[in-house]
Amino acid sequence: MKTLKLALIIFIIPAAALFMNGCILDAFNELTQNLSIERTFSVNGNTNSAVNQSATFRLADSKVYTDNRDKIKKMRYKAAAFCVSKNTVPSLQGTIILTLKTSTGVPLFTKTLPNFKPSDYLGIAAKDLELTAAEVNAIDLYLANVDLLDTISFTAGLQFQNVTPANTQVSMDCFVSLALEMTIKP
Amino acid sequence: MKKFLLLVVLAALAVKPSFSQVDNKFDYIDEKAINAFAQPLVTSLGVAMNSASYHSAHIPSTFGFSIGVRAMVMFIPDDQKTFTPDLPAGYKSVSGSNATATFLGSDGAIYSGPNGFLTYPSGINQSNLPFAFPQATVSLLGTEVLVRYAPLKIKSDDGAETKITLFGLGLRHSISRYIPFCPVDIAVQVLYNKFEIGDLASSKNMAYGAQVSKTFGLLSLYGGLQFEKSNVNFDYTTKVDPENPLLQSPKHVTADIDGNNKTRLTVGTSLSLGVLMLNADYSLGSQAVASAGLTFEF
Repeated sequence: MKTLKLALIIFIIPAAALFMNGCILDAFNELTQNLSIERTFSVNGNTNSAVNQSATFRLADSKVYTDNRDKIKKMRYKAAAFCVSKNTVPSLQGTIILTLKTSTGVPLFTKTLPNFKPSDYLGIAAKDLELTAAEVNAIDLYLANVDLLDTISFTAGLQFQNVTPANTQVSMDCFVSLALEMTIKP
Repeated sequence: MKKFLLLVVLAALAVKPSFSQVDNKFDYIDEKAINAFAQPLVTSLGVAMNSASYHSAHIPSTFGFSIGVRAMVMFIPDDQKTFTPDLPAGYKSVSGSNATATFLGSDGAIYSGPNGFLTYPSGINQSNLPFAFPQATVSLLGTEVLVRYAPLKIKSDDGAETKITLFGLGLRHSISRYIPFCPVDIAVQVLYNKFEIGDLASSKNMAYGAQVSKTFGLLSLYGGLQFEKSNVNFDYTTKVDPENPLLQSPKHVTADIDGNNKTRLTVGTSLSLGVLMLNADYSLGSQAVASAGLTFEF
């Protein structure tokens, strides 16, 4: 009988623990997937003219979001960046003011990029936008109700001020991009 | 016998849901990243498939038959949880580290660059990975044939069905039977295993090695050296992510990936309780693995 008890302790209990390891099952209870959404601005005209544009974009515009929309358990902010995809005046420079608001106009963040030179970024790098903890919280709160994600939209604003060289025809395409993380049911 | 069947069912339940979800992880992995992302998984599958094929080097000189279940857990080293992807020019991580998760790792990384963000999927964040399968052997005149077979069908919530099949075949022969008065049992073995996860992946594993054991009453000590090779063929189509320059359109990805498991050293012990044999062992290799077995021997 003692031998049998010893056998149970040495062999059966560890074996059962291996069989019923819960961690691996928990790991597949939720999956996380990053996605990005972006909004492009086209700045065309004379640099003496004020540039003040805004545009709306929705989560539902993202293919990754729509592929997973029925399985989303949670969505949260991960990163934001500003990119330049076209610029016809290499010496173009100025102050960029970027804003992001909710669909009802509540500000989520405002970022000012002084002395921004698009040619420093075109085909080279993105300008990462550093958000404060309060700004991140505001976005996460906006994304908190997963039942409303389909209807959620952002309004991005772009102002281009103190632009040099003056009186020059310019054509510049740029975009604001948001990276989000969604937790999905498998 | 009822308890034994219950254990087999529990083992199957533990493994089934896990592998039914594997394909979700590959939806946004392109052909450049698949190798590094999946290799630790390939190694884990290889280590599992090539494990627990024996609990003694003794092979009956007359007829023998056994049926049982094997369970194991692979311990994943930290360096197999991350990899650094081959990024386009101008891209850098938004979090500082350029590494992202492998299939077994944690958080997927986000990289910013001139065309926006590149995002990678997270892994399953596991430091150990369990596996279990049934196994039967038939032996005659010092030669043993091993068979593993487990066909499973998994139905997901959307009704899609994934077929998971494990098939293994091994041949083992006693060497000590040719050595008069040999104080230990010695055997050599060749093992082939195949594990298929739907249409996504097919894992082929080959192992050959030598084993030695010594019996002291009810208890036996055993050990072995094994050389092995594992390969998984992945075949899947990525989903589209228009914001990701690498996933502008669906890509059909096929990749043959070799595991890192090449050799292993095993030590273990087994206890004979009449027709019931219990065993446990530990193997050192690319991923260490602890395995346990419950076998009915006749």
